[in-house]
Amino acid sequence: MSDNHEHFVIPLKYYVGTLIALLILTVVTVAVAQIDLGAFNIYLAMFVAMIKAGFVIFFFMGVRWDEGFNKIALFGSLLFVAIFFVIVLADVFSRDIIYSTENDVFNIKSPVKMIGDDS
Amino acid sequence: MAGALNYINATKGLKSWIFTVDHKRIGIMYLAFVLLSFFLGGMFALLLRFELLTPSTLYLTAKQYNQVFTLHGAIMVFLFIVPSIPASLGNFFLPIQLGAIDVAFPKLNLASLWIYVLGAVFCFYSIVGGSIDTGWTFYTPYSSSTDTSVIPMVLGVFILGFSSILTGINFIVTVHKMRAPGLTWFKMPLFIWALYSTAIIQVLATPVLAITLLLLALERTIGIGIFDPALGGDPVLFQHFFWFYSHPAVYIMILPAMGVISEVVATFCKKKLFGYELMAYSSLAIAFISFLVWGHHLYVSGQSPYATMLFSLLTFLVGIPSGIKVFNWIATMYKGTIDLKSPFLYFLSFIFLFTIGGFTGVVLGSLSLDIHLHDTYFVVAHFHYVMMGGTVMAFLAGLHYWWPKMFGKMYSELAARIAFVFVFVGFNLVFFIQFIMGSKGMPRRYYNYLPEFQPYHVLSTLGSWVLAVGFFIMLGYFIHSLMKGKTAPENPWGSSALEWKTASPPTTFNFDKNLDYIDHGPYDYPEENK
Amino acid sequence: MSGSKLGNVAHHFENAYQQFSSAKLGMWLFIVQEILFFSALFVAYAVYRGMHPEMFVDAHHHLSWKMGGINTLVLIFSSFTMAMSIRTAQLNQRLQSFWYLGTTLFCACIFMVIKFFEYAEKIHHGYLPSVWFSGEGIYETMHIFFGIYFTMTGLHGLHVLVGMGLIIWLMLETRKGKYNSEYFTPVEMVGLYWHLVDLIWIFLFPLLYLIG
Repeated sequence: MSDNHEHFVIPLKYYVGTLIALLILTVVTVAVAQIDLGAFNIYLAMFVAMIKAGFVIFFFMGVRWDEGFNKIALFGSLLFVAIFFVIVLADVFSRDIIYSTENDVFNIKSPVKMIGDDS
Repeated sequence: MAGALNYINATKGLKSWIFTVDHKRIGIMYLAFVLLSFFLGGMFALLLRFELLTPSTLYLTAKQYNQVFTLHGAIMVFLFIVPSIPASLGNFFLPIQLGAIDVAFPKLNLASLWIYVLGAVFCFYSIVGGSIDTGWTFYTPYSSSTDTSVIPMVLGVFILGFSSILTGINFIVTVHKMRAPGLTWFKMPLFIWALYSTAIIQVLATPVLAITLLLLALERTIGIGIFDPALGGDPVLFQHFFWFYSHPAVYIMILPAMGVISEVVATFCKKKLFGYELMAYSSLAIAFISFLVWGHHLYVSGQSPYATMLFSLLTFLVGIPSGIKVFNWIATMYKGTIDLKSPFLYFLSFIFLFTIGGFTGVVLGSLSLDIHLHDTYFVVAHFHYVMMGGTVMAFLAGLHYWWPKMFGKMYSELAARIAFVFVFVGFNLVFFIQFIMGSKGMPRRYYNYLPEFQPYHVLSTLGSWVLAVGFFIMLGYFIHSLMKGKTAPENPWGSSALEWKTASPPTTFNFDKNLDYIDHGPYDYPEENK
Repeated sequence: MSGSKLGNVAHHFENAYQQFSSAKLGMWLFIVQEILFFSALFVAYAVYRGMHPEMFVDAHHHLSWKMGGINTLVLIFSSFTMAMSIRTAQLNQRLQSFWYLGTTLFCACIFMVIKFFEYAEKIHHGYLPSVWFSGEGIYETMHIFFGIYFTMTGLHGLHVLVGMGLIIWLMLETRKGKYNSEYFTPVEMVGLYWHLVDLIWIFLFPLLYLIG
């Protein structure tokens, strides 16, 4: 395996540009949070956070110029986080199909009938 | 090559072992620790089976019984089976099978070993200081409120998890970066593919266990209100978090075993493995799909029906790659030149017992059946068939296969066959009857039971003694082998695999001369015998 | 054996490039497991916020978004200085690298100090998890929010402290001239770790401080 790989030095403009973008986006995050958009607020906040994360990942962490498997490892892990998230939330928020909740206490909506119970 | 310098005698003294960075020495030390853990966990099993001889109390109180089965489970899962094959056989043979000198991070490998020991110390502290009685699954709210020693055990497991993660990182980087010239991905032995897939699960799943246990410890100390309903928490959330790790964890247990089985079948049938690429892909598929099925442990816990149905469907899917592997192993035997030595006997028992375990897993995956079978002995039998009938049998196959290479000594083949009979018969006596007991309604983790179940329990306990005899015979001939065994040749089984081209035992840097460019596959046997 | 001119290549590696790319992949895998580690906390957050939306909105008013905002800007800036310290090490600018590391450390200190004041204020008013909760609030379940708050920010803070220790170590090694254009691997690795710490905070800030 050759020893001639030059280490890539990321040009300064990417670092400075990312810093400015992150600072601006932080201001945006705070500003948007002041406006009441109901349930949409959290999705917007997360969307902005993901853009900020993208800047950190691609430019500060150098993923834009990184080798293939490092990218696969990172984005693959996000896939598993998504699986975890989606399925757990799908469970918790669809429980009211068979459970009713009163004062944080779960009750089964229709109790199981005993065998031979015709009432 | 008797008397020549090898990795065992190259340097002397306790410190040269404690501070070694040689993957082979680390593997041997791990082997010693996991075998010790196996015996300790086995002892707890014998204790609990003894209590179950009679329907009413024999010698343990209810709480003590809970402690005994919890410790049996926790020790077997965390101290024995999760590290078993990867840390011992994997550490020893992964670099050699890749044609490398060592793993990518030898010092990290050493750290993994001593972190494992530190975790074990915490677990022992819990055992002697008010042993935990929650079951190895630590379900809340019992685990967040019981007065037994939960936090030391949970911290111990947290630390053990860290050891597992670091090993996983090490193996992934080694496979990516340290292969010998010419050894492309599809020329790697299937043991490597298995260890690689296992490592992916270790890195992705174990941290979730870590945070779950940390949250449990915090729930017990500062009462966050996340799992304990008395504090407003959701106990099913604990189960989601716990099983998000623990289901993939069972594939950490079985995947390396499957890798060992592939190696053994190729050598003892002197035949190229059938369907190599599919075997490699199925290992990766198992690793991926294993993350999608954890809710099948929560069918009756209060999960929503939508989630339950989804998990049941996905659970059926996860059996497919395993089924592909079983077909391919059997197809490898067809027209092979079978050598019925003891590693191959363990291979055969793996095929039979793992298939039973796997089928019963599909049974449990069916919603309507699981409603009745959940928390019965059917479940206990299922997981013992896959973990013991599967992983332990494969571990024993690998141990018997690679023993001459690791220690340079042969063991008594006759004694090994006798032990095998005791282990195989004993295992089935213990566990087959439990399928029947379970389907008749005998619940698990009960220390008292209805008198009609007593004959089943008695048979099961007798089986546990037969099993124990088998293992003691094994201990005997292995110790004898180390002390007085015949010197092993370089390649006693006539295998074509790369690790058999080293000395027995290997030298410290594995290969004495630079390897030629590798231009052949891992199972270089003549095509079908014509 | 071909190796770097400064002989920094370990015995089991062929050359410096194999060593560097192995270290990088290893670090990325470590970051992957950190991501999965924190993910469960975010899931717990989502579950409890979904179950008690109004309580979360009410409870978060006890957090100061200004302090959280300053901490966010501080951490972002420290990420920049960390990246600059790697760049200057690569360019053999030893003194600049040392000062960029120092600035990163200083930013981390500011972060922890502000955190300290935030925590002290909460403790003073009794906004604590479970049995110690004695704060004012109309919701009975408010301790859940604070339990999650302290766990998430506490674990994050622990990671900041570890990062500070690593940066101090890098500063000492930089002073000794250990890093240069051929070998700057530890700086790069700690850099990746530090960016991860920043990433986690980027998500924590809006979720905890800017609800509704």
